[in-house]
Amino acid sequence: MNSIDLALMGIKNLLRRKARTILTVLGVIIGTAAIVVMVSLGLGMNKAFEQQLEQYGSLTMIDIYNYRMYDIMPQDSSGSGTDQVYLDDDTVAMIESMDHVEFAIGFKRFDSKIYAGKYENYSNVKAVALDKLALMNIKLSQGVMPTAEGHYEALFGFQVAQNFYDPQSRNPYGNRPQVNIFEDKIELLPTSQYYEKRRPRGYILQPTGVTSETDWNYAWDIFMDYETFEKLKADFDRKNKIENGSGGTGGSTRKPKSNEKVNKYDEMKVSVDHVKNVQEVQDQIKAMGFEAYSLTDALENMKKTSAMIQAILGGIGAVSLFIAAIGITNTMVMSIYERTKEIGVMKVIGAQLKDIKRLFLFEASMLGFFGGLLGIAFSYGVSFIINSVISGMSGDSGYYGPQILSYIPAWLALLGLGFSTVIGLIAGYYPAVRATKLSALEAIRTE
Amino acid sequence: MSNLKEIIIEIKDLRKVYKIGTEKVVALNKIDLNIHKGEICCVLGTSGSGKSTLLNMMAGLEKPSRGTIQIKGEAIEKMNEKKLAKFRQKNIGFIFQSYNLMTALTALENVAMPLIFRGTPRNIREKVALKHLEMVGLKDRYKHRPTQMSGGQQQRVGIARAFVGSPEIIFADEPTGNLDTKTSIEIMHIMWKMAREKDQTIVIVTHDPEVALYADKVIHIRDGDIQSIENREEDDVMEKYIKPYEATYVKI
Repeated sequence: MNSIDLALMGIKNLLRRKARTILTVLGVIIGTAAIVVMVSLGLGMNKAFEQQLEQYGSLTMIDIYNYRMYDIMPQDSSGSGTDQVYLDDDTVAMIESMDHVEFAIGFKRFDSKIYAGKYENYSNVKAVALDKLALMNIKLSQGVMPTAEGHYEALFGFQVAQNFYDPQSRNPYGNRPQVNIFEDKIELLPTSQYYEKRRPRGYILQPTGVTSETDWNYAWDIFMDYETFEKLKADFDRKNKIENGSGGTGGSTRKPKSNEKVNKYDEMKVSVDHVKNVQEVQDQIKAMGFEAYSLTDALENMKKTSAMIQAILGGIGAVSLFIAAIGITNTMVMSIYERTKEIGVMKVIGAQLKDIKRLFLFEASMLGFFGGLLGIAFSYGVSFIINSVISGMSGDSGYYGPQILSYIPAWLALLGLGFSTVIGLIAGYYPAVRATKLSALEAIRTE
Repeated sequence: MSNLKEIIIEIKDLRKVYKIGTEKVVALNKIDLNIHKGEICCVLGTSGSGKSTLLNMMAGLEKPSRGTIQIKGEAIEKMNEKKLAKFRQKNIGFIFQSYNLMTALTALENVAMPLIFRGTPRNIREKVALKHLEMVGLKDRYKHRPTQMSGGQQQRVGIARAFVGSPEIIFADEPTGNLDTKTSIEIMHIMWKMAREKDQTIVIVTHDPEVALYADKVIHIRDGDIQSIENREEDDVMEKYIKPYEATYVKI
């Protein structure tokens, strides 16, 4: 018996018993949809995790701090003989020489004040090597990156412009004034000191760009060239006779004695070529005696949690598909009882055992296949509803972007379809074997 | 004359015992029988005589308790299910008392069924099936379904189905059992004619002595034993038995 005839006969048989076929397929639809939607929720969660982490920062970035410098020296401290470690250009060079490291960049933070006319604003100035800052590919919404040659050029975090307030106002933080940083005169004082009466003259900044609203990593910072800011700060301190080290909490610019190492930077960022190498690099940096953080730690945990949730959700879905499989078996067994005579006649008039087996397996797998096909179409519908309705209810929270709850990639759809077909095939095996074992005599005797 | 022809079915020392609970029921006691190629054979007996059991064993649907059945030199009782299915597909056609057509299929599809199992391509099998429907006089009804046909018409479709694969042997189990006399005559006449034309062997099991009029060999069976075997000259059957019998009914 050739396959096309067999397929036609099988489909005819299924169509002959419409009600039962539809009901069985319905079971498979629900089973497949359950498993696909459940897994899609898990995948959606994964995707949301990643999206969220992207908001916090790049997954290939490692942050380094030097909080240990005030600690009692750790016993296992490695390095160049001294127990103390510092974030300086030597460290930068050392880290950059590591495998998988693309570049390392240091930041020095200064508490500062900026003025725009009568409005003022406390902000961090982060002094940085501008050529390295360019490597970080910070997204801008306006303007360009500052260049080292410019006079007091600065990159503004997009929140900085919105944080001005009027100190004369009775409700200074209520009505935020609109300041256009590109047009208004922006004056910088490299100190967070409060001036009762007259404030000293500041330095006119030239904002060259604003960071993108989609990236909150640099929202409150002002980036300036390290050397330029150092000079500015020294100039300011000299003019206003501020003693070294008392200018700002974060801004200790105490002149180092010769050969004494100091922390040139408060903070460093290390860019790694690939997510999978982040952990390795991070461990090496920790071994040097620094505190190092990266989002891979969080990502690992989140992935573990989400894998577990996915397994549980998938398990729940699997139960419904299992029930659907029993439904297929039941339908096929019922079908055998009903068709006992027909099977017997077929055997007597020349059907081979394998023809009968194949016929029943085909019918069962078709129940699985069509159930799977419709189930996946149904899943896409459910997924769409979940994403549009539930996500819509929580509002389009700009901080994390639109939330994806259910995500069905093509591989999941194909897998679901294949799985339901195979389930149908397995569910049909017992009835098929049973059909071949029916005695032709018993079959034709049945009246 | 029939002795000159080759033996196609050879039954030796055949016995069948059913166990019903603790009791043993002897369906067939001791059967020895030879059927020759091209013979139209009738196994005649009352119900419970064991005639159906004999047919079932010849068709390989039941295993004998003892003895051998050789068809075309092959021992049927020793074959497994798979081999039997192959053997039936190749050599045997079957006509049932209650027609056993597939109700979902048209007359043409029903007739073509055995060819589907043989893997014959669609265009060829439909041509062959249509030819056989024409032989039984139902060419114009090829699209009808069994439910739209009378019993006689359904049995004619059944006959076409049995003959479609040109098997050497055709078994018929009470082919006229559900039909009135006039229709029975039509059916028997068609079967007789088709088998004669291609020199096919038919074994008919019946309780109706009038059906036996069409046979070359009538095997009277009673309580599991062959009582007598009546051999007729093949050339005489039409003139001596069939024509006079049919003449009495044609007038009606």
